[in-house]
Amino acid sequence: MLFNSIIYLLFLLFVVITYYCFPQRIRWIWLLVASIGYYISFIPIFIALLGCGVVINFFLAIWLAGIPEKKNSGSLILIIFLNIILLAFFKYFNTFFPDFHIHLTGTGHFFPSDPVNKMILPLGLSYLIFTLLSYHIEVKRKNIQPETHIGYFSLYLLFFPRIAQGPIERPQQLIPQLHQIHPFNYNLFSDGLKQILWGFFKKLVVADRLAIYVNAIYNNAEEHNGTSLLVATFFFAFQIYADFSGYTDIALGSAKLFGFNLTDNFKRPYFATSIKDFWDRWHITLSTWLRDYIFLPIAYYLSNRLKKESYLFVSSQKWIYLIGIMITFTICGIWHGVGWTYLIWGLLFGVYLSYANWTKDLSKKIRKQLHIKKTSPYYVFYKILLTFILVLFTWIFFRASSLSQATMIIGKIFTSSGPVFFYSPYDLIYGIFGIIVLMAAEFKREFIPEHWTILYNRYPAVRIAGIVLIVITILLTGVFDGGQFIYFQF
Amino acid sequence: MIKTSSKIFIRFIGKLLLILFIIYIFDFGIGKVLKVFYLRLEDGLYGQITYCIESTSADVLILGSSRANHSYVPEVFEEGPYTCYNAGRDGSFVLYNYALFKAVITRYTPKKIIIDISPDELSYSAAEYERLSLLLPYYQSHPEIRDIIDLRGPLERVKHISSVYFYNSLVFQVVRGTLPNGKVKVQDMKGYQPLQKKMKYDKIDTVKIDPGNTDENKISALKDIISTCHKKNIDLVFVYSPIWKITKDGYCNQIITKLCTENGIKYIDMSNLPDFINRPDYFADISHLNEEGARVFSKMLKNRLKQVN
Repeated sequence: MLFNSIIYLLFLLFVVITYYCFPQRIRWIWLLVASIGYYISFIPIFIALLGCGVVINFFLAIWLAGIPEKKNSGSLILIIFLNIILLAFFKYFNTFFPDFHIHLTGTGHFFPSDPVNKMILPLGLSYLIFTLLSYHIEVKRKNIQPETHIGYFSLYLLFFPRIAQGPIERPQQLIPQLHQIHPFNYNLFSDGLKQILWGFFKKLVVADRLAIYVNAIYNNAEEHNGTSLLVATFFFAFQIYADFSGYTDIALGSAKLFGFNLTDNFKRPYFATSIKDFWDRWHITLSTWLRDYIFLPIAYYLSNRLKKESYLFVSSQKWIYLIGIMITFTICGIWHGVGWTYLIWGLLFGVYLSYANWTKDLSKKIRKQLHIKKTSPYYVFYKILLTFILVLFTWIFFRASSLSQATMIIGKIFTSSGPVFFYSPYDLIYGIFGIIVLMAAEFKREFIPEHWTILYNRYPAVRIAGIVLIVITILLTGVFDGGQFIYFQF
Repeated sequence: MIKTSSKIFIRFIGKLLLILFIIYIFDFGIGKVLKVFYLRLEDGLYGQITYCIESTSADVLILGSSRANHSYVPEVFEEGPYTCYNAGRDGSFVLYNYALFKAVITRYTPKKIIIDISPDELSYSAAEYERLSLLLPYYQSHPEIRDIIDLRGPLERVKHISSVYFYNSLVFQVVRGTLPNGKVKVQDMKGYQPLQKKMKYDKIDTVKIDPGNTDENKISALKDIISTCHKKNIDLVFVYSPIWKITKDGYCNQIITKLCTENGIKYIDMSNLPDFINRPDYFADISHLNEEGARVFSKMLKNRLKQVN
């Protein structure tokens, strides 16, 4: 039951109506049942795995909380190890045992699907494990008390709007909301519907449309010239953004219908003025997770170990940043998948960030000498463009099927020009139309948030006209036979 | 508090219904406008489909995929008073052609129908079901093709609540079609689209066609075409046009041969004729003949048809 399907909308409608019919104190039970039902609609057998994981972790957290803070590091490491092993087993099984075939039947319980003869990653397991790890770490640090109600705990982990692709919710953010009562909230409900609508626009009009061209080019990269590959890479940058942020909008909007606020994952990342700024705006719940639970502990550990002011004429702080960021982004790359492409994708960001950190003073000096103001619109535009180009380069590795394909594509982009390939010019026209509308909306929100408001305009007629326009645009230009969300595989 | 909450909820539902009503009105109106302009398209893919469904009265109708579209030159088959129209379309196989057949048969009865087949014509392909979207603009006005379009998915009918959905991904084409342009109208080309390039590849591969998942919907469609042609006394011919690969153990070939034998239908296999497998210059690529090859093939087929008649 993908978010971009009619069946999901019918499911959501049914669950919302029934939710508000139940007495408030038992609504959480209905949400948990709906969440389990949602999960079962994919591959039913894996709900058993998730169920066991939830119960075991529930008791592990209570056990961890009972150990004094100074003595609980070993226990936390054991819990992390158990969870990581589970994730690694499913995520990397096929990579390490490519010849081992496992026959999974009944994978298409509700909808027809092809037979599966390899290990498949249970839907949302990566997000679930990362959510669990943050929960255990916060319990270990005594920042929160463990949840003692297994029902709320299960709903925290299995809440259907976020189970497939996040956001990776911190316990402090979601668990208290589960304990609150949620009467019908007009503004939140209306906001949720608008967010779902905009999410559908991103997914159907932008992401799935661009996917047609991107897949056509990248699946036969050897046959295409550098110009077409560059256009496809440019399209992919917007495809992946619209796909993932579209999913997030539908997830956040769905949660709002039940009175819950989830954490937003995106803040107009292609208007970032640096790579650091990009990661403050892209997949925010993952980047903050990595910052708080990987980078900062490493930095803290190293700052206690490196006693000298500098090593090899470079300050200790810069070495600490370099080591911390490279390890963090290596993990980030591996989390996305096994293979050199993901690893290099992660490492490239590590290199970008380290370079920016090491040359911070130098770039300040250059800017001063050239009398460039930091707030100058030209300078801001230059920074946005440069950041976008650097990110665009990383997407080649993310999208390529192998390292050799990625290097071939990069080689062709720089050496082989020619006309842009298209089967029909309309493939490009619809794609460009989607990008223009998306970026115009993002531009408005980034630079003039108070002006030209449509969906939140004070005049109802403007709001209604905006909704009608978006619905008609989706029906006219959306791709209704599109595929699943890209981040499902992670 | 509960009372207030209920009141707010009812007010919200009222507003939501109002918005849905406004959407419905706009959707209906825009759908009607698009229909008018869509049916005026006189060139390109959509103009060709409209012409085939709504206007052609050709004696000989050619159905099939891009292999049909680029290989059968209508003027070669036109002899004396006979007229011919090539309704073959890129990426459109049995189900699309079945819908086209049903729409055409409802309006008039051609004398002869030639169906070009491809090596994996009968395999299940999700893309082929998606391709049926080409026929969505005719869904409302042609009830005979609805069952076929509904095969696109279990909830396809739900989407048809919207009038605009029938013109999904067509708005820019419709806008361009209303602007003056120098393109050749479809009736002048008779559906045929020649390919000019010559294939550079001269090594011919032998391929074994994997049976894959045979699509029962397609076999049922073929059976219905055969039985309708019998009833309407239409001369039906299946043709396997030249292809730049040697196909072995073609399961599709076997199924169609069996169907034709059982029903007394002509099946002409010209896929690997020596006149073509020694002439890479007749091909635009491994699956399609160029214009030169298409003319040679059309003349040969015409002679074969005379012989078998």
